[in-house]
Amino acid sequence: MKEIVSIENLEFKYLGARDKALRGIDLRLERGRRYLLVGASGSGKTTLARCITGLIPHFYQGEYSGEVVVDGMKVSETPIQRLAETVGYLRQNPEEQVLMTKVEREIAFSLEFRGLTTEEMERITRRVMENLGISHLWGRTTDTLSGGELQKVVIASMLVLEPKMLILDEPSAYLSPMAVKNLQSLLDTYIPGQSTLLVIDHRLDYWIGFVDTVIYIDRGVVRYTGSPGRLLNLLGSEEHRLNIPLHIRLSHDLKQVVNTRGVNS
Amino acid sequence: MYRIGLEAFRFEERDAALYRLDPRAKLLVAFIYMVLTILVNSQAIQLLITALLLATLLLLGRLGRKLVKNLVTLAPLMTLVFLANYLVSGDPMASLLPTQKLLNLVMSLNTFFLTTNPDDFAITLEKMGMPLTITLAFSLSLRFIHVLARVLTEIVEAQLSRGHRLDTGGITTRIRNYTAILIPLIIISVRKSISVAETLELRGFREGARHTPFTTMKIGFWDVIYVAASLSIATALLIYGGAVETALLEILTRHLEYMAI
Repeated sequence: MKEIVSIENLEFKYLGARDKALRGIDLRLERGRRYLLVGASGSGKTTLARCITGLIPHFYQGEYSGEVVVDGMKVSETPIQRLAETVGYLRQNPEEQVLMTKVEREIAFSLEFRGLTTEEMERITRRVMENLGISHLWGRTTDTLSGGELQKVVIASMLVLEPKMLILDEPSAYLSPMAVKNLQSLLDTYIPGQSTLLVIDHRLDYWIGFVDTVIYIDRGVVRYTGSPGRLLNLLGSEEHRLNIPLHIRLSHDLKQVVNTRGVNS
Repeated sequence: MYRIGLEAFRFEERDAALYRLDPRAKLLVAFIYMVLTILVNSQAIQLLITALLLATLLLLGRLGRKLVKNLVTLAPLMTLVFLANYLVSGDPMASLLPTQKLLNLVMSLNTFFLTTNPDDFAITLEKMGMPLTITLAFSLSLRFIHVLARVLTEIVEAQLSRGHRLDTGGITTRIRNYTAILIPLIIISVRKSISVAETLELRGFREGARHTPFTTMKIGFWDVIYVAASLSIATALLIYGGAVETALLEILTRHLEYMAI
């Protein structure tokens, strides 16, 4: 099966909300590819991620219709805990995703429910920490870590389950541009090639060179799936509140000039 | 001040003997001292218990500064207990005993809580047969103390920068002033708790699932010594309390006489 995520006619309205957060979403995410999900605040990016991870409809209630299939499992019929073994989800604020006081216990937490022995858990935890270059954090308490370190610890806590897909929701929100670069090189180096990556961010400029495909969502509707350059053609001058990188804007404007006035102009 | 209050009960990792002991041994000793504090009604012996607990916290736990913060936070409550008793009995010395008991109870708990990692605390409770949901709730609330302390500071700073005044006016005005701090704090806490619940689901936590803790616990030689020493002291004080009190008072009197000379 080529696709890891298949979404058909997905609609969702949060309990008590007036409008639908997602409207008629149809989307296919292929294995081993990197996607960037962009859109303005409140456009439904995080809701879509919750639908893939199973938080919707199992944790958040509301009006749910359509079908989401992740790695062959129907999300509506599969418990979140089972889906978590396939999809790792890093949310905006890493601090709120840390449950334990000690770094190694935090990373090993998910393994504690898998019937492994202490030795097996320690071996996996050490290997993942080594892979992410955070072995020196063993024994440290989580409240003494910097934002970047904390994010790596949270990523490590997802990687111990060896998920087939990673979702990073606004990973740049608490990071400096330099730290975002570090995060990208970390993902480049240590995330297995066959893993699918879905980055949710409105900072198009940070991720444009890193992803294969851009998905643009607007008011709960997927408006575009394809290369970043063509996204700008689609958006044109409309109010989209996306941070389009200068080189893409320039290339787009130049193409427009060439198309309308010819090369000599 | 409010921040000191929250920070005073927060666990901080330290390289000291008390931190290395098994949490079960520390919990048992804290319980021994609490029982002793409740049973003993002699002020001199309560003073001795305070000295023993102080020695434990300062020498074995290296908790000097933390202890000061802790006592500063407790000072208003201790004053209140003293004043309430004084108003009822009219005897300052008799009012001192409940205050001493409160101090010793808090210090007994400090020998455990200030020196035990919340994760280990959760495992200790689990080993005692408590369900995982409850032990996790305990450890998570302890872990989030510093997060809430920071949120509280941010809210206070935000409100002050908007010109909101906290410490002006009469009591009712002041209480009303603090609602501007409390309401956002409650809302943020609820949001954070939802986020934590989300994380637990995403990390594979299931109620009733088989759980193998990552950290294993082992009672060692020093744990046995710590419990045995505390138990011996407590038993001795309970049995020979009268004699110890007389001896202590004699020493105190001689000391005072010497000072007078």
